[in-house]
Amino acid sequence: MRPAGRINAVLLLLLLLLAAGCQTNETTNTAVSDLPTPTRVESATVSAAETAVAQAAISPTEEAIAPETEVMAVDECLNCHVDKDMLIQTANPEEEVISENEGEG
Amino acid sequence: MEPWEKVIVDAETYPDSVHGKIPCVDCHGGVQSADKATAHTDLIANPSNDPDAACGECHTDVVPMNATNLHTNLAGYWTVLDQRTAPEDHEVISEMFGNHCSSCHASCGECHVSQPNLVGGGLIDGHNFNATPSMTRNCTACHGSRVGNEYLGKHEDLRADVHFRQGRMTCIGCHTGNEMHGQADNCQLCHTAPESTMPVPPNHRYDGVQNPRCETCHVSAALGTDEIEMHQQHGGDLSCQVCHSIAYTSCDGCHVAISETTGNPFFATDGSYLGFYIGKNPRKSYDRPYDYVTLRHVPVASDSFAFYGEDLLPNYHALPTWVYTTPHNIQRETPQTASCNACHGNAELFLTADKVYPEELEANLSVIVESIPAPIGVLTDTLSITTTTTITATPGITTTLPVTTTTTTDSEDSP
Repeated sequence: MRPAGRINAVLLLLLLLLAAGCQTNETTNTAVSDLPTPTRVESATVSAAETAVAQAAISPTEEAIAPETEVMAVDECLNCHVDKDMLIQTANPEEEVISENEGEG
Repeated sequence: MEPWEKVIVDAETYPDSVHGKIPCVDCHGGVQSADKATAHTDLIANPSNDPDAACGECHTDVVPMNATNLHTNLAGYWTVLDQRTAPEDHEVISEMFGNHCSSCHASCGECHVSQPNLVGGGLIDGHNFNATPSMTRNCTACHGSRVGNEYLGKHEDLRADVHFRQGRMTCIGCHTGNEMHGQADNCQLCHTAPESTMPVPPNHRYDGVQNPRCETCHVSAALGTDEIEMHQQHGGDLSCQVCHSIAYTSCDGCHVAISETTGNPFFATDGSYLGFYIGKNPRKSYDRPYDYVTLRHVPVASDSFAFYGEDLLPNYHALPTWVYTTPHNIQRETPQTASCNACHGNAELFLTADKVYPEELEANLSVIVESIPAPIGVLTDTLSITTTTTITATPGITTTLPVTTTTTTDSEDSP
């Protein structure tokens, strides 16, 4: 056999081997018709899930970070100054002011 | 007000207001804390005492004019003090002023948020800012003994001002926010012919352009087109109050001192009384051209500041003690409007020398009415009357001197 013929034979053999490997992979997969019908997932759930996965992926060893929520600042001033009872309880002792003015001002 | 009432904030309305969005500590200082003592550290009770810092960032149209606001600068007091006192006494006069007069100062907050400190302070509407101050809790809280009592008819047997009684007008109906803030309402208020130059800011409530001015609303009276003969005859000669005011309050002799027992400043006036006095205009000008105006006695005496030193009013006579006044008790019909001769020939209405304290005669020479306007009528005629006066100089000898008196009377009334 001539050298070109030998090369062609080798190439043909390689192709046959490759085709056998692909076929093998395909036979291991589940048929499409046997796959369960995917259910529609709400976007919020998806986004939350994605967020959780992303966060876990970033720092999988850390505790899961709670989503940020808006925290209203507590105004201690108003807490007291809208409360009549509180104002009465904490009022300074009333000093009697004796006016010494005489006549019209 | 009870102590708690003075500082309680309306939880329903204030937080949602414009000013309620600003953190309390931004204006009032202090510290955010549940403990009162801690929270009130370096507290600023009245932030608007510094209007530039507290209000100027937002209220750029008002705060810059604050320097000309008479409620802020109390310039009217110094206008008269400077004329009656000597420069070398300025320091002690300033001390007196700080103790007794500066309490009339009103900050932004004392008109728009709380009662004036002069009457005890306290939030009026749960810390909500009122664009229009309350007539009774702000304006007349300070302007009470004269303006408030007269306007609201609190004097027995004297009716309230018709603008309140029938017009239901509050102070802001005439005294606009611009006036209160030291601003002119419009350009024409200052730029009036023939004086076209910008006037200096007023240093007295009766200085500069009249504002408010009766004629602004009562135009026909000003023009003499309302078929009222008195308006036609006296337009410009008499201030409106001469005919349309009734008895108002005058005061005598205010003396100031510091209490030996409490250390608090106090005052004592010699007396107050109701009366009606027409006198010569002490502030006659282009803006106030009247010959006659109503006058009120102010409680300044030559020894008003005796507590602080001797002879602190060396120029006491530089200004009248009977001053230009605009009583807030206007009526459509008054004793003066009954007839021409309700005033003409009626000495009782005029500030004559006999009504002025002897020690004040010199100070009031410019306003005392020397000659009462004679009674008038529809027609005039000259009637000569000759009277004879008998003078007995020496017993047994009688001398007779003829005296002629010429009287101008109405021909219809001639005997």
